Amino acid sequence: MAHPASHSDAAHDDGHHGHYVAPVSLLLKVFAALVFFTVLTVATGRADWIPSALHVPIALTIALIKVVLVAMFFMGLKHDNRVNTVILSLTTIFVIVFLGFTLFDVTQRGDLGNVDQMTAADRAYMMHEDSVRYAQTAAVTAALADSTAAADSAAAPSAASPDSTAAP
Amino acid sequence: MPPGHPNGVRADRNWPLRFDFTTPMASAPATLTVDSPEVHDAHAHDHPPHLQHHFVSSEQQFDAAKMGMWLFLATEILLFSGMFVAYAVFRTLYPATYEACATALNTMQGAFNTLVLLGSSLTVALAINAIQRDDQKGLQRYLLLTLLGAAIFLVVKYFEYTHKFHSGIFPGLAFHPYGEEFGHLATVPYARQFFSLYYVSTGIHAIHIIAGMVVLSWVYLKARKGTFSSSYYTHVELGGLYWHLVDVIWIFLFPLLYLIH
Repeated sequence: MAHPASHSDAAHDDGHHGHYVAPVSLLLKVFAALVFFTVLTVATGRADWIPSALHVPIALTIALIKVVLVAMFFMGLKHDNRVNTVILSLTTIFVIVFLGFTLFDVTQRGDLGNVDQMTAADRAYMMHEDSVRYAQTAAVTAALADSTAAADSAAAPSAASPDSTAAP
Repeated sequence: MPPGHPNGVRADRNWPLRFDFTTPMASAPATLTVDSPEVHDAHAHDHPPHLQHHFVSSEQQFDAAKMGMWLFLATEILLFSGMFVAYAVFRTLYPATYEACATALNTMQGAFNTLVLLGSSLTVALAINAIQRDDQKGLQRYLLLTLLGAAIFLVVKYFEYTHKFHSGIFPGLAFHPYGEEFGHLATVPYARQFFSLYYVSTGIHAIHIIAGMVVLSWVYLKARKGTFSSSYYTHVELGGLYWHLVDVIWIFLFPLLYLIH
Protein backbone atom coordinates (compact mmCIF):
# COMPACT_ATOMS: atom_id res chain seq x y z
CA MET A 1 0.00 0.00 0.00
CA ALA A 2 2.05 2.83 -1.27
CA HIS A 3 -0.67 5.40 -1.00
CA PRO A 4 -0.93 5.98 2.73
CA ALA A 5 2.82 5.69 3.07
CA SER A 6 3.35 8.34 0.45
CA HIS A 7 0.84 10.62 2.08
CA SER A 8 2.54 10.31 5.42
CA ASP A 9 5.73 11.32 3.59
CA ALA A 10 3.93 14.40 2.39
CA ALA A 11 2.69 15.01 5.92
CA HIS A 12 6.29 15.37 7.08
CA ASP A 13 7.22 17.47 4.05
CA ASP A 14 8.15 20.86 5.37
CA GLY A 15 8.98 21.85 1.79
CA HIS A 16 12.70 21.99 2.45
CA HIS A 17 14.24 19.94 -0.29
CA GLY A 18 17.67 19.63 1.15
CA HIS A 19 18.97 20.99 -2.16
CA TYR A 20 22.62 21.57 -2.61
CA VAL A 21 23.24 25.30 -2.36
CA ALA A 22 26.18 26.31 -4.51
CA PRO A 23 28.33 28.73 -2.50
CA VAL A 24 28.70 32.22 -3.94
CA SER A 25 32.50 31.89 -3.94
CA LEU A 26 32.25 28.81 -6.17
CA LEU A 27 29.93 30.61 -8.60
CA LEU A 28 32.36 33.54 -8.77
CA LYS A 29 35.30 31.19 -9.41
CA VAL A 30 33.39 29.49 -12.24
CA PHE A 31 32.60 32.90 -13.72
CA ALA A 32 36.28 33.88 -13.53
CA ALA A 33 37.20 30.64 -15.32
CA LEU A 34 34.60 31.35 -18.02
CA VAL A 35 36.00 34.86 -18.57
CA PHE A 36 39.51 33.40 -18.73
CA PHE A 37 38.48 30.87 -21.39
CA THR A 38 36.70 33.60 -23.39
CA VAL A 39 39.90 35.68 -23.44
CA LEU A 40 41.85 32.52 -24.32
CA THR A 41 39.58 31.67 -27.27
CA VAL A 42 39.90 35.21 -28.66
CA ALA A 43 43.70 35.10 -28.23
CA THR A 44 44.11 31.68 -29.88
CA GLY A 45 41.66 32.62 -32.60
CA ARG A 46 43.79 35.63 -33.52
CA ALA A 47 47.19 33.98 -33.13
CA ASP A 48 49.03 33.62 -36.42
CA TRP A 49 51.54 31.08 -35.18
CA ILE A 50 48.83 28.45 -34.69
CA PRO A 51 48.29 26.34 -37.83
CA SER A 52 44.97 27.29 -39.39
CA ALA A 53 43.83 23.66 -39.34
CA LEU A 54 43.94 23.74 -35.52
CA HIS A 55 41.87 26.88 -35.06
CA VAL A 56 38.46 25.20 -35.17
CA PRO A 57 39.46 22.23 -32.95
CA ILE A 58 40.98 24.61 -30.35
CA ALA A 59 37.94 26.92 -30.41
CA LEU A 60 35.55 23.97 -30.07
CA THR A 61 37.57 22.42 -27.22
CA ILE A 62 37.52 25.71 -25.30
CA ALA A 63 33.78 26.11 -25.99
CA LEU A 64 33.22 22.56 -24.73
CA ILE A 65 35.14 23.28 -21.49
CA LYS A 66 33.06 26.43 -20.97
CA VAL A 67 29.80 24.55 -21.57
CA VAL A 68 30.82 21.79 -19.13
CA LEU A 69 31.54 24.48 -16.50
CA VAL A 70 28.16 26.17 -17.09
CA ALA A 71 26.27 22.84 -17.06
CA MET A 72 28.01 21.44 -13.97
CA PHE A 73 28.00 24.50 -11.72
CA PHE A 74 25.58 27.15 -13.05
CA MET A 75 22.98 24.61 -14.17
CA GLY A 76 23.77 22.49 -11.14
CA LEU A 77 24.20 19.12 -12.85
CA LYS A 78 27.07 18.20 -10.52
CA HIS A 79 24.77 17.93 -7.51
CA ASP A 80 21.54 17.21 -9.38
CA ASN A 81 19.50 14.11 -10.07
CA ARG A 82 21.63 12.12 -12.50
CA VAL A 83 18.77 11.67 -14.98
CA ASN A 84 19.27 15.27 -16.14
CA THR A 85 22.92 14.59 -16.94
CA VAL A 86 21.77 11.53 -18.89
CA ILE A 87 19.34 13.69 -20.90
CA LEU A 88 22.06 16.23 -21.75
CA SER A 89 24.59 13.49 -22.60
CA LEU A 90 22.17 11.65 -24.88
CA THR A 91 21.32 14.92 -26.64
CA THR A 92 25.02 15.63 -27.14
CA ILE A 93 25.55 12.13 -28.56
CA PHE A 94 22.71 12.62 -31.05
CA VAL A 95 24.09 16.00 -32.11
CA ILE A 96 27.49 14.36 -32.70
CA VAL A 97 25.82 11.60 -34.76
CA PHE A 98 23.91 14.22 -36.78
CA LEU A 99 27.01 16.32 -37.39
CA GLY A 100 29.43 13.41 -37.87
CA PHE A 101 27.40 11.39 -40.34
CA THR A 102 26.46 14.45 -42.39
CA LEU A 103 30.13 15.46 -42.61
CA PHE A 104 31.16 11.87 -43.51
CA ASP A 105 28.73 12.08 -46.41
CA VAL A 106 29.82 15.54 -47.55
CA THR A 107 33.57 14.90 -47.32
CA GLN A 108 33.76 11.21 -48.31
CA ARG A 109 31.25 11.28 -51.13
CA GLY A 110 34.09 11.25 -53.66
CA ASP A 111 33.89 12.06 -57.34
CA LEU A 112 30.36 11.76 -58.58
CA GLY A 113 31.36 12.77 -62.14
CA ASN A 114 31.24 9.23 -63.51
CA VAL A 115 27.86 8.48 -61.97
CA ASP A 116 24.70 8.71 -64.01
CA GLN A 117 23.48 12.26 -63.46
CA MET A 118 19.95 11.31 -64.43
CA THR A 119 17.51 10.71 -61.61
CA ALA A 120 14.68 8.21 -61.75
CA ALA A 121 12.33 11.15 -62.20
CA ASP A 122 14.39 12.44 -65.14
CA ARG A 123 14.27 9.00 -66.70
CA ALA A 124 10.53 8.65 -66.23
CA TYR A 125 10.00 12.07 -67.73
CA MET A 126 12.27 11.22 -70.66
CA MET A 127 10.38 7.99 -71.29
CA HIS A 128 7.11 9.87 -71.12
CA GLU A 129 8.42 12.40 -73.64
CA ASP A 130 9.62 9.57 -75.86
CA SER A 131 6.26 7.91 -75.80
CA VAL A 132 4.52 11.19 -76.60
CA ARG A 133 6.94 11.80 -79.47
CA TYR A 134 6.43 8.23 -80.67
CA ALA A 135 2.67 8.66 -80.61
CA GLN A 136 2.95 11.96 -82.47
CA THR A 137 5.27 10.41 -85.09
CA ALA A 138 2.94 7.47 -85.47
CA ALA A 139 -0.04 9.79 -85.90
CA VAL A 140 1.81 11.92 -88.49
CA THR A 141 2.98 8.82 -90.35
CA ALA A 142 -0.55 7.46 -90.39
CA ALA A 143 -1.95 10.80 -91.57
CA LEU A 144 0.71 11.00 -94.28
CA ALA A 145 -0.04 7.46 -95.35
CA ASP A 146 -3.73 8.28 -95.48
CA SER A 147 -3.23 11.43 -97.55
CA THR A 148 -0.82 9.63 -99.90
CA ALA A 149 -3.33 6.89 -100.35
CA ALA A 150 -6.08 9.45 -101.01
CA ALA A 151 -3.89 11.31 -103.50
CA ASP A 152 -3.01 8.02 -105.15
CA SER A 153 -6.64 7.04 -105.51
CA ALA A 154 -7.55 10.52 -106.82
CA ALA A 155 -4.74 10.40 -109.35
CA ALA A 156 -5.48 6.79 -110.18
CA PRO A 157 -7.02 7.36 -113.66
CA SER A 158 -4.10 9.42 -114.93
CA ALA A 159 -1.63 7.27 -113.13
CA ALA A 160 -2.87 4.41 -115.18
CA SER A 161 -1.33 6.08 -118.26
CA PRO A 162 1.99 7.66 -117.13
CA ASP A 163 2.84 8.57 -120.67
CA SER A 164 0.05 11.16 -120.91
CA THR A 165 1.50 13.21 -118.00
CA ALA A 166 5.07 12.90 -119.16
CA ALA A 167 4.41 13.88 -122.75
CA PRO A 168 2.82 17.18 -123.74
CA MET B 1 -11.06 30.09 2.96
CA PRO B 2 -12.95 28.79 -0.10
CA PRO B 3 -15.30 25.82 0.37
CA GLY B 4 -13.78 22.46 -0.40
CA HIS B 5 -10.32 23.73 0.45
CA PRO B 6 -9.87 22.77 4.09
CA ASN B 7 -6.33 24.05 4.29
CA GLY B 8 -6.92 27.11 2.17
CA VAL B 9 -5.04 25.85 -0.88
CA ARG B 10 -5.93 28.05 -3.77
CA ALA B 11 -6.68 26.57 -7.17
CA ASP B 12 -4.12 28.80 -8.90
CA ARG B 13 -1.36 27.22 -6.86
CA ASN B 14 -1.68 24.26 -9.19
CA TRP B 15 0.78 25.70 -11.67
CA PRO B 16 1.16 24.88 -14.51
CA LEU B 17 -2.08 22.92 -14.60
CA ARG B 18 -5.33 24.78 -14.00
CA PHE B 19 -7.13 21.70 -12.74
CA ASP B 20 -8.18 21.92 -9.16
CA PHE B 21 -6.67 18.83 -7.63
CA THR B 22 -7.61 19.97 -4.17
CA THR B 23 -11.30 19.12 -4.59
CA PRO B 24 -12.50 15.98 -2.81
CA MET B 25 -12.81 14.19 -6.17
CA ALA B 26 -9.05 14.20 -6.52
CA SER B 27 -8.63 12.53 -3.18
CA ALA B 28 -11.19 9.80 -4.00
CA PRO B 29 -8.56 7.01 -3.82
CA ALA B 30 -8.59 7.63 -0.07
CA THR B 31 -11.67 5.38 0.11
CA LEU B 32 -9.44 2.47 -0.84
CA THR B 33 -7.44 2.88 2.32
CA VAL B 34 -10.29 3.84 4.58
CA ASP B 35 -8.85 1.70 7.39
CA SER B 36 -5.95 4.03 7.72
CA PRO B 37 -6.80 6.90 10.03
CA GLU B 38 -4.27 9.05 8.23
CA VAL B 39 -6.29 9.22 5.02
CA HIS B 40 -9.76 9.51 6.49
CA ASP B 41 -9.56 13.19 5.81
CA ALA B 42 -7.11 13.75 3.01
CA HIS B 43 -6.46 17.28 4.19
CA ALA B 44 -5.99 16.59 7.83
CA HIS B 45 -2.24 16.44 7.32
CA ASP B 46 0.02 19.39 6.91
CA HIS B 47 1.64 19.98 3.56
CA PRO B 48 3.09 23.04 1.89
CA PRO B 49 0.51 25.00 -0.14
CA HIS B 50 2.60 24.73 -3.32
CA LEU B 51 2.61 20.93 -3.27
CA GLN B 52 0.16 19.47 -5.78
CA HIS B 53 -1.62 16.31 -4.73
CA HIS B 54 -0.38 14.15 -7.57
CA PHE B 55 3.16 14.47 -6.23
CA VAL B 56 4.47 12.59 -3.23
CA SER B 57 6.68 15.39 -1.98
CA SER B 58 8.01 18.84 -2.79
CA GLU B 59 11.24 17.14 -3.76
CA GLN B 60 9.50 14.93 -6.31
CA GLN B 61 7.45 17.84 -7.68
CA PHE B 62 10.59 19.96 -8.08
CA ASP B 63 12.55 17.13 -9.74
CA ALA B 64 9.71 16.33 -12.15
CA ALA B 65 9.47 19.98 -13.25
CA LYS B 66 13.23 20.19 -13.63
CA MET B 67 13.44 17.01 -15.69
CA GLY B 68 10.69 18.35 -17.95
CA MET B 69 12.75 21.50 -18.41
CA TRP B 70 15.84 19.47 -19.30
CA LEU B 71 13.84 17.54 -21.91
CA PHE B 72 12.73 20.87 -23.38
CA LEU B 73 16.35 22.08 -23.38
CA ALA B 74 17.27 18.89 -25.27
CA THR B 75 14.85 19.85 -28.06
CA GLU B 76 16.34 23.37 -28.07
CA ILE B 77 19.85 21.95 -28.48
CA LEU B 78 18.63 19.82 -31.40
CA LEU B 79 17.00 22.90 -32.98
CA PHE B 80 20.31 24.77 -32.92
CA SER B 81 22.25 21.66 -34.01
CA GLY B 82 20.53 21.94 -37.41
CA MET B 83 22.12 25.35 -37.86
CA PHE B 84 25.51 24.13 -36.65
CA VAL B 85 25.42 21.23 -39.13
CA ALA B 86 24.50 23.60 -41.97
CA TYR B 87 27.43 25.77 -40.88
CA ALA B 88 29.83 22.78 -40.81
CA VAL B 89 28.77 21.44 -44.22
CA PHE B 90 28.95 24.84 -45.84
CA ARG B 91 32.33 25.60 -44.29
CA THR B 92 33.67 22.23 -45.49
CA LEU B 93 32.56 23.02 -49.02
CA TYR B 94 33.59 26.71 -49.19
CA PRO B 95 36.30 27.47 -46.58
CA ALA B 96 37.51 30.56 -48.48
CA THR B 97 34.05 32.15 -48.24
CA TYR B 98 34.17 31.88 -44.45
CA GLU B 99 37.61 33.45 -44.16
CA ALA B 100 36.63 36.34 -46.41
CA CYS B 101 33.25 37.00 -44.76
CA ALA B 102 34.31 36.63 -41.11
CA THR B 103 36.31 39.85 -41.45
CA ALA B 104 32.97 41.66 -41.63
CA LEU B 105 32.07 40.51 -38.11
CA ASN B 106 33.41 42.55 -35.22
CA THR B 107 35.29 40.18 -32.90
CA MET B 108 35.36 42.68 -30.04
CA GLN B 109 31.59 43.22 -30.13
CA GLY B 110 31.10 39.44 -30.17
CA ALA B 111 33.56 38.95 -27.28
CA PHE B 112 31.88 41.74 -25.30
CA ASN B 113 28.49 40.10 -25.79
CA THR B 114 29.96 36.76 -24.69
CA LEU B 115 31.13 38.34 -21.43
CA VAL B 116 27.73 40.03 -20.96
CA LEU B 117 25.94 36.68 -21.36
CA LEU B 118 28.40 34.92 -19.03
CA GLY B 119 27.81 37.68 -16.49
CA SER B 120 24.04 37.32 -16.74
CA SER B 121 24.43 33.55 -16.32
CA LEU B 122 26.32 34.29 -13.12
CA THR B 123 23.64 36.69 -11.85
CA VAL B 124 20.84 34.19 -12.53
CA ALA B 125 22.85 31.55 -10.64
CA LEU B 126 23.25 34.09 -7.81
CA ALA B 127 19.48 34.73 -7.91
CA ILE B 128 18.87 31.02 -7.27
CA ASN B 129 21.50 31.07 -4.56
CA ALA B 130 19.74 34.07 -2.97
CA ILE B 131 16.30 32.46 -2.85
CA GLN B 132 17.81 29.23 -1.53
CA ARG B 133 18.89 31.38 1.44
CA ASP B 134 15.42 33.06 1.56
CA ASP B 135 16.98 36.35 0.47
CA GLN B 136 14.00 37.97 -1.31
CA LYS B 137 15.80 41.27 -2.01
CA GLY B 138 18.81 39.45 -3.42
CA LEU B 139 16.59 37.36 -5.69
CA GLN B 140 14.91 40.45 -7.12
CA ARG B 141 18.20 42.34 -7.48
CA TYR B 142 19.94 39.50 -9.34
CA LEU B 143 16.92 38.89 -11.60
CA LEU B 144 16.99 42.59 -12.57
CA LEU B 145 20.74 42.41 -13.23
CA THR B 146 20.15 39.38 -15.46
CA LEU B 147 17.50 41.29 -17.41
CA LEU B 148 19.93 44.19 -17.72
CA GLY B 149 22.54 41.85 -19.20
CA ALA B 150 19.99 40.54 -21.70
CA ALA B 151 19.10 44.10 -22.71
CA ILE B 152 22.77 45.07 -23.17
CA PHE B 153 23.26 42.00 -25.36
CA LEU B 154 20.32 42.98 -27.56
CA VAL B 155 21.50 46.61 -27.85
CA VAL B 156 24.95 45.46 -29.05
CA LYS B 157 23.24 43.05 -31.45
CA TYR B 158 21.09 45.93 -32.74
CA PHE B 159 24.18 48.02 -33.54
CA GLU B 160 25.86 45.01 -35.19
CA TYR B 161 22.86 44.35 -37.42
CA THR B 162 22.17 47.98 -38.41
CA HIS B 163 25.86 48.57 -39.19
CA LYS B 164 25.63 45.75 -41.74
CA PHE B 165 22.23 46.83 -43.06
CA HIS B 166 23.68 50.29 -43.85
CA SER B 167 26.16 48.65 -46.23
CA GLY B 168 23.60 46.43 -47.89
CA ILE B 169 24.44 43.24 -46.00
CA PHE B 170 20.98 41.75 -45.72
CA PRO B 171 19.99 38.10 -45.46
CA GLY B 172 18.91 36.25 -48.57
CA LEU B 173 18.15 37.85 -51.92
CA ALA B 174 18.41 41.39 -50.50
CA PHE B 175 22.19 40.87 -50.07
CA HIS B 176 23.91 43.63 -52.07
CA PRO B 177 27.00 44.86 -50.22
CA TYR B 178 28.42 48.25 -51.20
CA GLY B 179 30.66 50.95 -49.77
CA GLU B 180 34.29 51.03 -48.71
CA GLU B 181 34.01 48.70 -45.75
CA PHE B 182 31.92 45.85 -47.12
CA GLY B 183 31.85 46.49 -50.89
CA HIS B 184 34.50 43.81 -51.58
CA LEU B 185 32.09 41.15 -50.30
CA ALA B 186 30.05 41.55 -53.48
CA THR B 187 32.77 39.65 -55.35
CA VAL B 188 33.18 36.87 -52.76
CA PRO B 189 31.48 33.70 -54.01
CA TYR B 190 28.70 32.44 -51.74
CA ALA B 191 29.03 35.45 -49.38
CA ARG B 192 25.23 35.75 -49.47
CA GLN B 193 24.88 32.21 -48.10
CA PHE B 194 27.36 32.92 -45.29
CA PHE B 195 25.44 35.98 -44.16
CA SER B 196 22.11 34.18 -44.41
CA LEU B 197 23.54 31.56 -42.03
CA TYR B 198 24.85 34.34 -39.78
CA TYR B 199 21.50 36.12 -39.63
CA VAL B 200 19.46 32.95 -39.13
CA SER B 201 21.62 31.53 -36.33
CA THR B 202 22.19 34.80 -34.45
CA GLY B 203 18.58 35.87 -35.14
CA ILE B 204 17.06 32.71 -33.70
CA HIS B 205 19.45 33.07 -30.77
CA ALA B 206 18.27 36.69 -30.29
CA ILE B 207 14.65 35.47 -30.30
CA HIS B 208 15.65 33.12 -27.49
CA ILE B 209 17.15 36.07 -25.60
CA ILE B 210 13.83 37.92 -25.93
CA ALA B 211 11.90 34.82 -24.81
CA GLY B 212 14.27 34.50 -21.85
CA MET B 213 13.64 38.15 -20.95
CA VAL B 214 9.86 37.55 -21.01
CA VAL B 215 10.24 34.48 -18.78
CA LEU B 216 12.61 36.18 -16.33
CA SER B 217 10.41 39.32 -16.16
CA TRP B 218 7.48 37.09 -15.25
CA VAL B 219 9.59 35.34 -12.61
CA TYR B 220 10.66 38.77 -11.32
CA LEU B 221 7.04 39.92 -10.99
CA LYS B 222 6.21 36.73 -9.09
CA ALA B 223 9.29 37.25 -6.92
CA ARG B 224 8.10 40.77 -6.05
CA LYS B 225 4.81 39.31 -4.86
CA GLY B 226 6.82 37.07 -2.55
CA THR B 227 5.79 33.83 -4.25
CA PHE B 228 9.12 32.13 -3.74
CA SER B 229 11.00 30.86 -0.74
CA SER B 230 13.85 28.47 -0.01
CA SER B 231 11.28 25.66 -0.06
CA TYR B 232 9.62 26.71 -3.32
CA TYR B 233 11.51 28.36 -6.18
CA THR B 234 10.78 26.08 -9.15
CA HIS B 235 10.10 29.00 -11.53
CA VAL B 236 13.41 30.66 -10.70
CA GLU B 237 15.30 27.40 -11.20
CA LEU B 238 13.65 26.59 -14.56
CA GLY B 239 13.93 30.17 -15.85
CA GLY B 240 17.59 30.06 -14.86
CA LEU B 241 18.14 26.78 -16.73
CA TYR B 242 16.62 28.31 -19.87
CA TRP B 243 18.84 31.35 -19.52
CA HIS B 244 21.98 29.21 -19.12
CA LEU B 245 21.04 27.34 -22.30
CA VAL B 246 20.86 30.63 -24.25
CA ASP B 247 24.35 31.33 -22.89
CA VAL B 248 25.60 27.87 -23.88
CA ILE B 249 24.39 28.33 -27.48
CA TRP B 250 26.22 31.64 -27.69
CA ILE B 251 29.40 30.04 -26.29
CA PHE B 252 29.44 27.93 -29.48
CA LEU B 253 28.16 30.59 -31.89
CA PHE B 254 30.74 33.20 -30.90
CA PRO B 255 33.99 31.40 -31.87
CA LEU B 256 32.44 29.73 -34.92
CA LEU B 257 31.15 32.96 -36.45
CA TYR B 258 33.41 35.71 -35.11
CA LEU B 259 36.76 33.95 -34.78
CA ILE B 260 37.35 32.46 -38.21
CA HIS B 261 41.01 32.89 -38.99
